[in-house]
Amino acid sequence: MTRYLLRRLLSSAITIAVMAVLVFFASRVLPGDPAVIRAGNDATPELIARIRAEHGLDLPLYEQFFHYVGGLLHGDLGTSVRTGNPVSADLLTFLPATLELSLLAFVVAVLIGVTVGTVAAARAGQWPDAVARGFTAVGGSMPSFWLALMAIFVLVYSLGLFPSPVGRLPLGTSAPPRHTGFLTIDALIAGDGALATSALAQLALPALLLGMLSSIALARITRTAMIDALSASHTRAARGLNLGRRHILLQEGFRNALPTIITSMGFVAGHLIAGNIIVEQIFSWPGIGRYLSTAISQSDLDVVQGFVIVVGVSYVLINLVVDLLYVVSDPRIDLRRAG
Amino acid sequence: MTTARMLASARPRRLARLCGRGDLGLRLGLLLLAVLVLIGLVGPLLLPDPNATAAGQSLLPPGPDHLFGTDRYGRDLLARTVAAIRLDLVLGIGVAVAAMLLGSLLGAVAGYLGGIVDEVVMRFTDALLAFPGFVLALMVVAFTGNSLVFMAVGVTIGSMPHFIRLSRARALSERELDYIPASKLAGSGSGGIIFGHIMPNTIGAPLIQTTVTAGWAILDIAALSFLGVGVQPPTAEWGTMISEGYSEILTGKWWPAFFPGLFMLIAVLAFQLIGDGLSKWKNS
Amino acid sequence: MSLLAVDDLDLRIARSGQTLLRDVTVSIERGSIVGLVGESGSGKSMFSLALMGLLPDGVEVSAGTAEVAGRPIFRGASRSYDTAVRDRIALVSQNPRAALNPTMRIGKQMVRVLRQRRRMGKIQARDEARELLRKVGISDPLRVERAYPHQLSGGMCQRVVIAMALSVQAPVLIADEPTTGLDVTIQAQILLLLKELMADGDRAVLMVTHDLAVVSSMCDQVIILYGGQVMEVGPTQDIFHDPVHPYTRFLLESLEDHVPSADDIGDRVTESSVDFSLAGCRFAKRCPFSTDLCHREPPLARRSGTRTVNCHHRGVS
Repeated sequence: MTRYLLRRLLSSAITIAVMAVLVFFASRVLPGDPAVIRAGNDATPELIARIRAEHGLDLPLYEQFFHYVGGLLHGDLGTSVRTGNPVSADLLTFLPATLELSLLAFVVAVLIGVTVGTVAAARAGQWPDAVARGFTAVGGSMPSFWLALMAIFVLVYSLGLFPSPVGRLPLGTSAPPRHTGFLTIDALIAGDGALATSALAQLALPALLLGMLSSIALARITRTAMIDALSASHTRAARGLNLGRRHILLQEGFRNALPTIITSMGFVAGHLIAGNIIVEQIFSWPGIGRYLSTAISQSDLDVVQGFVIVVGVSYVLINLVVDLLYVVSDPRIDLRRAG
Repeated sequence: MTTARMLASARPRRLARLCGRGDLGLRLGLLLLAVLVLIGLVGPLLLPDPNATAAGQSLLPPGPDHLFGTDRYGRDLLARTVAAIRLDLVLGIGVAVAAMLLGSLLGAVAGYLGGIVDEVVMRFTDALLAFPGFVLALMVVAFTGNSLVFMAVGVTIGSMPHFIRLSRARALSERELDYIPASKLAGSGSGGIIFGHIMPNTIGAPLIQTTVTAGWAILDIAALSFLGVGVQPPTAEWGTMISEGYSEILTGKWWPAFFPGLFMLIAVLAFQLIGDGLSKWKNS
Repeated sequence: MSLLAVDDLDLRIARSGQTLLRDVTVSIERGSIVGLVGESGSGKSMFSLALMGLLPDGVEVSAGTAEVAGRPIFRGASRSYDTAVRDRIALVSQNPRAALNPTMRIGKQMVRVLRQRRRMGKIQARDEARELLRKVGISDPLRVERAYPHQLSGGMCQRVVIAMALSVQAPVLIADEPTTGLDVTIQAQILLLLKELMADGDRAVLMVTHDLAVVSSMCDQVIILYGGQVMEVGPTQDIFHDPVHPYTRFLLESLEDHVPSADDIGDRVTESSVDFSLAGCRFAKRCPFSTDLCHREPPLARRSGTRTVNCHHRGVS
């Protein structure tokens, strides 16, 4: 097991390294002078020259590369032109908002995806299955931002079921003292139940939407994996032994479908990350996604670079964890031989 | 098993069964796409100028004069939505085809040459896959300055990994076949072999992937436009239109954002159905 | 008294109307091992699945009745399967590893059957499971109970499956090609095990197989099946020594130790695939003795003592 783990870590490390190199070259080699882009629309030649000097853009490419790599290894992702802070510090500031939203969305995604997939499989060929397949077909074809806007129109504007998308708290409300950065938890720590409820209410719609959109691939894969497991010989044998229906669904069906379902968690994570950028923009959520959007519109390139690297590394690590979970979940995989 | 075969051959006699459904999906997808293309080609000739503003006509709800209503600047939304069809479809299909060609070539080269070349291409592909969704394209656009061309390039690069892998897998198995040594004996160089034999044989399955990728490309392009990169206003594109409709939603005017999104849904759904239908047909 | 009594059972593909089994009549007494012999595609596995209520979607019982230990298996006009019948009948199939849950340890798989079906407590079930494993010839049940199916050999898996079938305490056991795919030496062991388990009395086994050698060594009685139709029924040794039905004669001529003789009909039997929508005798297209009648009408059952021959033209002398 350890040898397999080490091999996968090495492989991930190489992928991260290649990715970092790609990002560097993208930022320097792609057409478009980085200094000019950073300087923005009202650039004067002096501003451009200053930026060039500050960011070391006048140095030879290989020197820039060394600085870049050196910086990365120290966790230095550059500096934001807009806020003036190191990018890494800014990211840390905005990360809890994104995490709070993403974790809740993840739970929603798993609940919806696995449930829809399982029900569709258990009732394959009947109407719940048709509904589920319609859901995944339409849901997978739908632009996330459009769904969000329509949901806001119906649920916020027309029906008033959810609060306005103004951010993590209603306008005029102040945040509780910061402990975890998760407003719901911090509010509970501060003993303010009403505040926690407000925070949760603001969190609800974006998390629901993000979770739902990220659940589509999971629902599809769960359905297929469950259908395969439920039509297997061992399931038929279990029926022949008159083992209970629920037991068969869970143990012959779900437990055997689990390794495949786990592998699709990587897709869920991917959708969450990409979807986050959009959802944070729409709901004015002060997380790293919106930090990125603002940076792009203002050509704050260090931020873009830093964000992309952080996201890339996270995604690679998430996939590594998913791979390891997959291996652990399938008893048939003998790692002594695989390593 | 005999019974399994007999059951399978009994199926088509029953109405609306699984095999029929795959066929139905394919037909529906092609129909939707055909309708969209038709509207996209013919519509702009019959409809008003999508960019014509009209100050007094701002934000009119759907009605007999403006079937989809008007936006903030008084522009007819039906005209804009239809005008966007051409742009989005061309972009989507263009990106998908480009990704398919480039990715398949890269994969074929990697699979055939093997060794270091293969290793490098595989690592490159893994790195590309390290960026979820449109993040890669976002990065490319940010670094090159807002331009539609570079946005398309970014989405193309992000769509390549599927094709690289598909093509490489096929090339690896094709490589073992006998006609390759025969070709070499006849004097073909690697280039001749790759273009003459490997690529034609490896392009088959990726064509199905291309249709599905076209759908994803449209979604990514629209998402990027929504975020303000790539396509810029006042160009009529579904993503920018929805972005423009964002603030209107909060005041209860749903139509500027609704119709472009609906059309996008139909377009992407059409590609999905075609892709699924083709692969079901291929597997039967 | 018959432990398993099947009368005129018809099995049909619902959509196409093709009849997979027609007029199948089987009777198994307590304490006997009956062989159901047929080529692949003869419908013998469908028969097992029908008795267990495990038919695939689209296949249904369209006529006939069946009873196990006195209890009807199919109920009502639609002939739906009464799952309570699984108290009295259990199935052991080919490919034993596939019949076991790959993600669950053997011990846990056996214990859950005992707890659910025989309402045993955890400890009691665990002990009983170990006892059952010993009973099927597994000398180290503690090792096996901790193992996953993929860690065990095919023969070992089959023993486990048999143990699970035993744990249900059903009087009728269907063994559907239980040794196909296993090593030859293991095959013999499994068959011997099945025979030993019969010695406990009170049980009956339906051995479904294509292997005449197995039938010869294991079964008291044999049923010859072709194209979903019963051709001949009788005591094994009688049939082997004196086959009456043309198909039975054809089958026996294919045995290794057959001495060619002038009576052989093998080279007069034509090659043809079964037509499951044919009204007449399913063997008619291949039979050298078939007439127009054979193609039109299903054959009558001619009984004589313990022998039955389903043929228009041949009967027991």
